[in-house]
Amino acid sequence: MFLKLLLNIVIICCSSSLGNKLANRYVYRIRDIRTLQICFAKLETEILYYSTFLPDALENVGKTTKDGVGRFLFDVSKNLKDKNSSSIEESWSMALERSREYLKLADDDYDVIERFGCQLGVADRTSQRQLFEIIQLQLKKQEKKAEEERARYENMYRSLGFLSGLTIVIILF
Amino acid sequence: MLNLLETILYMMPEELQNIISSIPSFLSDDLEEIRIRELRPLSIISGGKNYYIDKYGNPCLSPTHGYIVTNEQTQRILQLISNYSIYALEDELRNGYITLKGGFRVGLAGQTVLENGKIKTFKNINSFNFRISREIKGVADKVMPMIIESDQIMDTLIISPPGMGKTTLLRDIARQLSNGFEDFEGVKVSIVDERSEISGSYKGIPQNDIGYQTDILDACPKAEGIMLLIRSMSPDVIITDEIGRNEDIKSIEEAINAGVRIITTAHGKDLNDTLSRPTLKNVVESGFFHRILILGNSKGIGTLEKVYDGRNMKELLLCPIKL
Repeated sequence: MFLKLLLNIVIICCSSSLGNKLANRYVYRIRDIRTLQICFAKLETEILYYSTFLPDALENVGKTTKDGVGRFLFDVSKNLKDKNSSSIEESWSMALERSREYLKLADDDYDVIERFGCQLGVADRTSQRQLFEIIQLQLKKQEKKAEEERARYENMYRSLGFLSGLTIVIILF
Repeated sequence: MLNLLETILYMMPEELQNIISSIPSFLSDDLEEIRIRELRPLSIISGGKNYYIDKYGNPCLSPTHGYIVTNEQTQRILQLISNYSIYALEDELRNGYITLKGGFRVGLAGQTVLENGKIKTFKNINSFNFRISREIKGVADKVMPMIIESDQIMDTLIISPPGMGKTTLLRDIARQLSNGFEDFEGVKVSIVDERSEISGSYKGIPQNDIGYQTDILDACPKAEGIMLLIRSMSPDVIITDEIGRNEDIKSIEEAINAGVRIITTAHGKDLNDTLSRPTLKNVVESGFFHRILILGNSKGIGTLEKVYDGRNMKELLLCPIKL
């Protein structure tokens, strides 16, 4: 009897945590998008007001940001500073590809960021300013989209996790 | 020399790196320029002569055998020399050159974008000229006694055609005045380095030895820079190069009146050539400069041809000397 109860609790815990995990994806996505917005604003200051060279600017921003986003920017700067370094597009997309392991962004977020990276540092100050304006707008849009998805799916996955656990328990016993 | 070439190599795509590093040493030792032009053969200037380079790094007689530089390569060079940051180099681009770590300069050419009739920026940059500047310590040894008279530094104008070692000489004069030498204690020197050529500054740090007591105002317009230095750095000597505009002359007069010594240069074949330019004519004839040095190449590059006492136009040099 006791063992049965324990098993029931384990099953419900597992399925709830699975549900939570799926639900948290939506929360973390919003968190990452917001961090990106802050980081790109910092990068904008470094580039437009201090005229810091891009690899140094990325490193500075990367260092002062703890999250995965910081790790990603630091990664790009490392790629650029490498002796046999590649172009900015390559460095950016290589780091972005690796970041899929630790950032919880959706595919369309990645598209936006990828396009932004290709334009970074290749033009004069005026165009760079426009580029930053555009990326902030786009990230705002992505953030809104992520919010909507979170509102729709977060609770659903959480309850789904718990309820499916419950269903299994009822069917089994 | 080798280090400098290495720095340049970092600025090249891999294939060009391999080619340039296999240029035979009899050419690379006297290397003055590496010229890269899109869709045309790679060439170098060594010992004053142009050589086309083939894909094995050997000089070849006919340009048709030279290694042809591609568009991807020039774009890559642009990214590398700008450190992926075109926006940070807007002003440099407008002047057509970038100063790199190590103090050497890369000249650029391409299509210019105009705004109000002035160059705003470059686009489609496709020609690069890597200029290897030479730091020759001691080149001013023979000049120093001429510009110092009983411990007083003379206001000096150096006149020379391009490529005769004017800047190299000026750099060594700065170093010697700043550090001092036998019978001369160093003084405070300030340099207004409008084209980043004297000090070869990278991120504001001089890459050439210009002396312990030297302050540099890098990439600063001469006239404004001179006035700023008089106010802020209390220099004994201000060094700047290639004066010519009216406001330059005015600020130099101001400096001399403030008791600061000036050492500067101007383009010209000889004294008459300089006197044919109205702005310079005035300043030379009014006797502001106490010494006028003429450089030339009658005994090879960097020959001191003539030295005048600017106050009475008396020649002080008996025959040309090689520096």
